[in-house]
Amino acid sequence: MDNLILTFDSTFDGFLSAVHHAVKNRVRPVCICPQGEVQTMINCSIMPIDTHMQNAELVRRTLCDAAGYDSLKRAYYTYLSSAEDAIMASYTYILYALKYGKSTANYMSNADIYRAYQLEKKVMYEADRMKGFLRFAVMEGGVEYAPMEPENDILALLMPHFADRLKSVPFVIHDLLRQKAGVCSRGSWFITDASDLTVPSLAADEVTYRKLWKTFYDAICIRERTNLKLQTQMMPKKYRKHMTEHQL
Amino acid sequence: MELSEKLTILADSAKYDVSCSSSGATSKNYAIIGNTAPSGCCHSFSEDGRCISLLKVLFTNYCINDCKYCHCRSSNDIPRAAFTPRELAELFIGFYKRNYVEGLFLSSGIVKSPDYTAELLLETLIIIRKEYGFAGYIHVKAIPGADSRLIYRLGLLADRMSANIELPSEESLRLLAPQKSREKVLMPIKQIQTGIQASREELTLYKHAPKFVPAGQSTQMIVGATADSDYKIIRLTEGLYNKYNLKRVYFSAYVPIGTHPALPKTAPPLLREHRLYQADWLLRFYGFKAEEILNEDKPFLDPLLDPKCNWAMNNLQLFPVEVNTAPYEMLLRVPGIGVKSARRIMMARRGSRLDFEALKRLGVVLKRAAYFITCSGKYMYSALKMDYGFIYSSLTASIPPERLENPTQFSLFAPSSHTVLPERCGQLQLSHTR
Repeated sequence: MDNLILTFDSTFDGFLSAVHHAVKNRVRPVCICPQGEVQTMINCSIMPIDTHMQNAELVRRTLCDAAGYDSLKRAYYTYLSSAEDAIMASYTYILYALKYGKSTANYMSNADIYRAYQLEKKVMYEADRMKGFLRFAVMEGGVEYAPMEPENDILALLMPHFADRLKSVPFVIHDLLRQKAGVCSRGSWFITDASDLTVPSLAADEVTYRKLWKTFYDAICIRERTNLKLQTQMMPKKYRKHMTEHQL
Repeated sequence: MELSEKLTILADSAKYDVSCSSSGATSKNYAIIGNTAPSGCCHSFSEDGRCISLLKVLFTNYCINDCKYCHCRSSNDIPRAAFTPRELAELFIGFYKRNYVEGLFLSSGIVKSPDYTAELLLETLIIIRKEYGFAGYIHVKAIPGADSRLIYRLGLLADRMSANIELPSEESLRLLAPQKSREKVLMPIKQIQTGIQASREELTLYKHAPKFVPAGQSTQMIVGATADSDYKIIRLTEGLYNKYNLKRVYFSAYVPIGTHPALPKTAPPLLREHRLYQADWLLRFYGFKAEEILNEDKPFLDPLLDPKCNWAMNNLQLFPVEVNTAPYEMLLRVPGIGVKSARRIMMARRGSRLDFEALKRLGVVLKRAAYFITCSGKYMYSALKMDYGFIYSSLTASIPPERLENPTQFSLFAPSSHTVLPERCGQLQLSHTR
């Protein structure tokens, strides 16, 4: 029998549509991957799946009813991970969640279920960290702009947090690695392609505030307790590239 | 004076205040800017490895008090500065907008009188809350000696308040902070507690009653400036949690900044601070009592073993614990099993019997737990013995020999001597943010 590969349009809804197809037609694809990232193998057939909102919604609702909202969240977070097996891990997890229902958490000794937990934790952890490490710059005209290069695709997880926090300020979060940008104004937001984003120049007082922040950052350290290893452990160097205090 | 110069001076003076967490408070953005996540959020880490989540500054470092351990004591010859309320409010909102900080931590030296100082803080908070519409986290110090109505008004604007207990005992206070006494230090704590209780009761009756200090209060004390024992500190901490419903008690290893003859001139006792925090965790999350951790005969924590291991070693008759059947409370008492892994064990063992491999996956630290548990009646290693000497030497085996052989290590924790800590002990210091 052929090895079946399902492809989708690299949105979560597209992925859920592919899952819907697999479950409904009782097929077991060897791989589900976004279009354009397909690695063909011997004896395989590739089947592109169109995104159907109703199908995606059906999978969402079925999963929630069967195993609770947490499991949908877990499948989503796992899907966002940058690990190579992320999408398949999410798919396998959904199958197990549909099978075991609310007691899925009791099967942590199952390697596939454990993998989903692991990936979810990593994504969640990075999103939590980025909520702190993200740095906005106030641009001319009052728009705030924050560049970032996270390991996982966490943009969609950050947007609600900052949309609530900076309700009165329009802002843009730019994922430089994936060329995506989250745009928010008055609390409502959307994510868009950002390959042709032009960044306006800095507002007049921006540099002053950056310097003040650096001043504070240096003053708050207790020199007698210097512990660079702990600092690096808590704030890995990969995140420092876009942090104001490490740029000046 | 330039703003950046003021910021340098006033952040430098505030850096010895420990509290940094914004956890425990939840607020949606009900105004114009700002919210608080219950988990807290670290925005950066300074070179000492401590998290920076709040704009932590003194309003002013002018002070009429002369506490010997304090950087801002009136007899100390240091540069002095003061913000104006508007200046500080603007600076803070500028930082917050750029996601540099999670909230404001505002403390102050006493300028002119406690009331005058409290009024200045109040004015700052009013500008931040009312003019800028800030709905995020604010922690403000209760100025000792200020009028109770001023404290109340501060509490309505702040999320958390704190009053420092400063030193663990009455005698130490008399020695180093002659203007303060136990009574005077405890009074604002008591007042805030009554305020919080009253506000909670009102809120159950009237939905829109004003919230007074909704995130609770905390306090801090200096460790290693005086001869107080760990037992005394832990007892005091337990008392503060039980009697005054504090959210957190912070410990701050004394950094030699004073010149008073009664003060030690040594490196900060970081390892001791770390062990005290571990004991504090046992009190708050693990259901331990102070007497179980230490007692009159053994008033100091073991620098080589964490307090939980220490307790387990002294109660070996309760071990080994069978992971597949033990009750939750007992799992919590096993070294190497934390609150999260204990909960996971409770869940996972419903699905299948657990072996050591599964425990590892659930996040149990087998390096320590192995000596105290069995899985389906089996030890992890066949050579294991329930014997004090055997376990002690195994647990401390991974500690580098220079720390074991260094005789000054032990005198560190004796009451009267203050020896320099070897540098690497500092690396054991963890952060206690969430």
